[in-house]
Amino acid sequence: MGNVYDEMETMQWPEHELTRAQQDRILEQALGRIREDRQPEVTVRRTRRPVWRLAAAAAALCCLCAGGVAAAGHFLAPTQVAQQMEQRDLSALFVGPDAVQVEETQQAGDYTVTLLGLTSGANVTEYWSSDWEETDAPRGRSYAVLAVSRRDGTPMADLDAETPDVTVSNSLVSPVLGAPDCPLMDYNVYTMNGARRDLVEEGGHYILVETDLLEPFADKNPQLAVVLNSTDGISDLLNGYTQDPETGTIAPKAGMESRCLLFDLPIDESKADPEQAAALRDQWLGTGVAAEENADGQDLLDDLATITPEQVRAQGTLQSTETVSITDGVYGMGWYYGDGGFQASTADWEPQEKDRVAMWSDAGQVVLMTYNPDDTMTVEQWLVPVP
Amino acid sequence: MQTAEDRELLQSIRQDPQTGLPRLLEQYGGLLHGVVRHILPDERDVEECLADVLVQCWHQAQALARKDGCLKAWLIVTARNKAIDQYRRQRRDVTAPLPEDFELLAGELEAAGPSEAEETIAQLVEELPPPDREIFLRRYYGLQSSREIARALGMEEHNVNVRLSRGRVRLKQQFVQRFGKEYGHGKCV
Repeated sequence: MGNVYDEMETMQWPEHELTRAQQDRILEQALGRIREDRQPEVTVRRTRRPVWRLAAAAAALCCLCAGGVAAAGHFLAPTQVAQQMEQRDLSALFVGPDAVQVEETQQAGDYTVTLLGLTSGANVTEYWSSDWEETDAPRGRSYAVLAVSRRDGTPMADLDAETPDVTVSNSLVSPVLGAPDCPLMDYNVYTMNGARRDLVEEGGHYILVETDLLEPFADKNPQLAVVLNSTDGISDLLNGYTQDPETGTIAPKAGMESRCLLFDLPIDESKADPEQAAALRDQWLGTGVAAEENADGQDLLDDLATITPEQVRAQGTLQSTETVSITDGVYGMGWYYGDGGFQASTADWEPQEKDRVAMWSDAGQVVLMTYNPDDTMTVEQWLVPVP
Repeated sequence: MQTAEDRELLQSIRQDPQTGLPRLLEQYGGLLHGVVRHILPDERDVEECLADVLVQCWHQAQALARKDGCLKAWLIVTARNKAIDQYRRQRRDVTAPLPEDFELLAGELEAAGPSEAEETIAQLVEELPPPDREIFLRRYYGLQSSREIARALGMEEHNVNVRLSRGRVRLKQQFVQRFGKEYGHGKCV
């Protein structure tokens, strides 16, 4: 990303001056919020100390009584995690009737990952997806909170540390469905309109992941996949797990167990709703009647994006022709207007390429450009029939 | 690369925001105002959004100084994201919708988690040949309209639109390759 940032640094950007009064109001707001931010820092620490003291006792008890089940009590509760993330409505959901406390722990290399709990309810984080432009937004969202800690007990690195332990860029948390009609490729955090927030508090790393409602899929064996050392997004999910096509059963691939974990999501199976599940699936996968209707405009543009000059000449009507000179300018060799306005580059033309479709619109207007041997360019405006 | 002046400014913001933030606003306020007003027409919203940017800068000042990143670029991206966030929060009350590619941009940023989507967009933009790269930088980071971009680059507005349209096709392909999912349906620039 460095190059893009460097380039932005050197570009001339339009400015719109702020008045002195505006500057004063902005500063007043900002400094007020900073004062508020600083205030709770002290309060939170005071109230959380007892949690740590309790944690020591809880951890000891757990070790004595529960064998491999870790002492999830020393982590913040999901409701506290949401509170720390300034999600008050979500914090309430985690103590509401749909909240499920889990506290299941698994080991992944040097880390311990604990699924603390899940809940579902309204879209309280105000997540918005462009998928919802043409259709109604789904009626609810599902939320889960995980904690990640170091097995040796040392604190997790802050999110802005130079070498962070876990970040959104090097780990993946995704709901998956262990059913034969729910392949990993189609049902994952990316398709389900997922979002994630990370928080490090007093040495513990917390991950809040949210997706569209999972309850309609309660009969599809919903699980939560956690991949550490993941930088390739969906590829890591597909390469890290196997899914039996007959049974739908998902499991970490052999040898991947130390970085690919799988937690069961205990969602009440009676909440399964095949009709709502089908509607969600259509939205996630872009299938169904509504998607077909919406796709028409884009399909047309996609079709035109692949149309060849030969097809344009065969199907279209020539509107105008112009021969222009190719000159050298600030963007290299290409077609420039007399006032220096840049129209088209010839720098990326292949040696064997004589003509190309340069521009198109959904009204069927297509511009063909032909690169002539005498270093001129013929520009033809065509109109092709569109449905 | 971070200038020595920006590094010193970030240190000042971290140590004493009452001194550092007025300097930041003096230096970059006009630029940030220019970015967010493309999405937030009401000046009260602009002020709230810019206050958010300042608070975020105070939060991140130490990390920004340590990473040696470009402050100006970070401010532009942060202002853009805050403006989109604010628009989203208010969208139920807003009668005039955003230009549709800004709506899609918001979807892109959410689709795979902000940092991943941001990284993918940045990689794509890096690979674009001139003048497409600058067109995308201006559109996606500066939120400039096609008309403004055309004026800045001495191009025809239609030509800018076509280049944006082509770039979006590439962007979509990258998203599908990387995330296994498209980020929007049935829209183009």
